[in-house]
This record gives sequence, structure tokens and C-alpha cells, in this order.
Amino acid sequence: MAAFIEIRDVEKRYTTRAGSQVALRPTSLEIAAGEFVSIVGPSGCGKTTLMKIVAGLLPCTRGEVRIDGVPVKDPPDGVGIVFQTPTLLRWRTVLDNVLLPAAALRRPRGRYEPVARDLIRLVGLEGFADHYPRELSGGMQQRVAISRALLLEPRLLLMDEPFGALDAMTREEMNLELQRIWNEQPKTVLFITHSIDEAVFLSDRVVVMSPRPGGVRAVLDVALDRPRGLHVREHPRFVEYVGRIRDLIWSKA
Amino acid sequence: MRERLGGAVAPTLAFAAVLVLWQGSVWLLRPPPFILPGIGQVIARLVAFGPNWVGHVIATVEGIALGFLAAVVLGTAGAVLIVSSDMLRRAITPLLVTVQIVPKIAFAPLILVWFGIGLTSRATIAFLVAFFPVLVNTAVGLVQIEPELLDLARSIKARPAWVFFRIRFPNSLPYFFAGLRVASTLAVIGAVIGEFVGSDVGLGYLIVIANNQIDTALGLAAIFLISVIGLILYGAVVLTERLCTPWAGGEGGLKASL
Repeated sequence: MAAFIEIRDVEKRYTTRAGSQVALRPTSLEIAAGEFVSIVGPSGCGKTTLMKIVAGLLPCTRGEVRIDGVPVKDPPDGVGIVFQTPTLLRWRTVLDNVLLPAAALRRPRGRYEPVARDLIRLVGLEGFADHYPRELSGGMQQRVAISRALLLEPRLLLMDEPFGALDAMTREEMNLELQRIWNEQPKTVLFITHSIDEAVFLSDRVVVMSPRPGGVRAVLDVALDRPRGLHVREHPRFVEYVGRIRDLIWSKA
Repeated sequence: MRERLGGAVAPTLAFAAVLVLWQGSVWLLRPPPFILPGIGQVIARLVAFGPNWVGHVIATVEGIALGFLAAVVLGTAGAVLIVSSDMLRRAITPLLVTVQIVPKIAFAPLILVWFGIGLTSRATIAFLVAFFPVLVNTAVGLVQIEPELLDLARSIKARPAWVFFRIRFPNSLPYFFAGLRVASTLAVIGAVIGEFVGSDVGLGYLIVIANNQIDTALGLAAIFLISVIGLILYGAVVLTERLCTPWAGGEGGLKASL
């Protein structure tokens, strides 16, 4: 059986005046349907580049990405994206922001409004449907962005450091929330982060990338029971995973 | 509560201080009235001139309104043109920068030669100074957009026209209104200058006449009325902005423009 997402020898180079610069070294990776996979690595290792290539937002210089066997050229159907910042439209209420993907495709609002309201409840924002983004905290705004990404029931959810701008406590809370959402609406998730801890906590597998110019250094299976609680972080195996990933990132391979 | 009260009290005190300074210097230094009349004298002149104001006020309001409206319509249209065509943008931008530097007011006498004495000249001068802030601000608002927002639009497969009307256009509104606020004050200046250089009616014309007749109180009364007109226009712009962009939380207005 072919993998749901196939990333085959994908490479990204930028041509600058100084010559050709490698943003992402040839990378191969396969992700099965329903898997939660994190990509972890330091800033500038090309993990966001890789996500944008998978999302069809950036062409790669070499190689190919296939989703469900179909090569990715433009943004494919059935993919929801959560960006580093909430990227909400300031002039739209929470409800209208969540409905944005349906509005862009001119789909009937009536059919999607109940879905949007369910999603707003799912991410814990009941009662905020008619608020404007500026009335929400950073964590709440990112919850809206997650609801928006889920509106059209995507097969694949791409998340690019979605909690990177949040404080440590909100971040822990959002990790728990995301795990809960993922339990209720199982789907394939590709999660980009620079937090090793977050990657281990959330994922079935963690892809470790090396510092610039980045490439995949190792892939780790995370064998920890779900649902994982806050205290899983004290589990000896969790601690061991975190230590191993840290070593992998900084080892001179 | 204390904040609220302080918010109203401090500006009132500042206004009062200016008036006290004015009237105080009149009492202490006793300048001749043609140098500096007292507040009472200006008010008396304002009242005594009575119905004579009407024609002048109407003429000035016409010049401002026509110039301002033309600036808003053509400035917005120009901005849309500029951002919708790369070639046009590259062709026009250097010209715009150059024209920005040219003092538009300096064209006033020339415009008089072209259009003659009358509303057309006054409105044209008002338009000329109010046009560029609208054009530049609106163009910047249409272009200035978070790259991630455009990535989002692509990922949800939004069509270009939809992106323009549903993302770029609302995104530009705060910039557009900032331009309008500047333009509203400039249009007043432009119209009055138009009346200085060549007109037989209007508050600016009246200021010139009052000066010639050494009727300083009348001149100051006319300046007061011009300021009232300017404030009303500015207030109308701010109010429209609040109504059109409730999501911005009323961050605009004088505070933002200062």
C-alpha cells in the first residue's frame, strides 16, 4: 500500500546574486493516512519550506510530493493549513473567519454555518462567534485558525509552528486541546515545530531535521499511550525521546 | 472613571489656556485692536457681520466639498489602477514621487489663469492638494498585506477578484481613511488659498479684504468659521470611518493621525 503522503527527493534552492543557496537538502519521507507526524528542527532548517512545498504554495527545485498518489502542483483539495500567526481577517467575526474557506469557494453559507458553530465549540470558543479577532487573545485567535482549517473536513492538516508565538502555559494547554481535537476528528497531521517537547507530546512519529542547510537526520517512533496527559512529560520514555532528539539535532553528522 | 474624566478635562484645559493667554496678553499689553483684538471684539464682529457671512460660507464650503470629493473619487480610482497593473505602477511611480515633492499650492496662480476666477479654480486647487494623500494611502493599503494572508487565500483556492474585494479592499480601509483625514484638512487649506489668489467671494477672500481694511477682528472671525468648517468635515470623515470599520475598534481619528 502506498503512503498517503510521499515526499520524494524534494530539494529547494534559491538563486541569489551570491549563487545558488540550498534551503532544503534532498528529503524523502512517507506519511500514512491518519498519522500525526511532527517535523522538528532549529530555525532556518527548511521545515517551513518543506511544509509550503507539501501545501502546494511553493514549487520545489527537484523531486516530487504526492498526496494520495496525486502530484502536488497547486494547493491541493482537502488540505487545511494553520500558519505561524492566526492570519485572521480583522473585519470578519470569529464565525465569518471560520467560514472563510466556504465563502472563497462560494459554497452556500447555510450548509456550513452549523459546521462552523460546531467547530467553534470544539475548540472551546463557544460564545465568541460574533467577536472580532482584536477582542481575542493570541491563543484564542489560533483556535479560530484551527477551526477555519477544519471547516471543509480536510484529509490533511498542515500546521506550521502554530503555537510558536504563545506563552509556555497557553502552549501546553493548546497541545492538550489539539490532541483532543485530533481524537475527535482523526486525520493526517503534519506538524512543524521547533519545540522538541511539543513534537514528542503530540506525535506518532517525529522527523528530526539538521541545522541549515536542513535535511532529514532521523525519524523516531513515539511509543507512548494516548491520550497523553500533562504528566506524560515526566515519563522516563518521554524524557529519553527528548534527549535523543536533542542529540540528533546538534550532533555533527 | 478617572481615565475618562481626565480624557475630557485635559484637552478642555489646554483650549482654555490658549484663550486665557490670548485675552491675558490683550489686557496686559494693550495692543491696538488691528494688531490683536480681544476675544470679545472678535465675537462682536462675528455677530455684527450677521447675514453677510452666508454667501461667503457657502462659497468656501462649495470649494472644499467639490475639491475633496473629486480627490476621494479620483484618488481611489487612481490607486486601484496603479495596483492592478505592474506596468502602470512602474511607469507612474517616479512621476508620482516627483509630483509629491512639487508644492501644489504654487500652481494656484497658474490655475487661475487656466480656469479663471470662480468655483472651478478654487475647487481645482483644493483637489490638487487633497488628491495625493488619498491616492498614496489607498495604494499602500491595497498593496500592504501580510504575505501569509495571500498564502491563506491561495490555499483556500480563492479567485483573484474575490481576493481583491474580500481581502485587499477591506484591508486597505484604515489606510484609505487615514488618507481621507489628511485630505480633509488639506482641502480646506487649498480652497482658502484659491480664494486668496483670485476670488470675489468666500472666507479666504474676506480675510484678504479684512486685512486691507485693517479689520483684524473680521479676519479672525473668518478664520474661526473656516476652522469650524474644517472640524465638521474632519469629524464627518472620522464618523464615517467608525461606521465603516467597526472591527478596528475606533483606533482612528485624531490620535492615530498625530
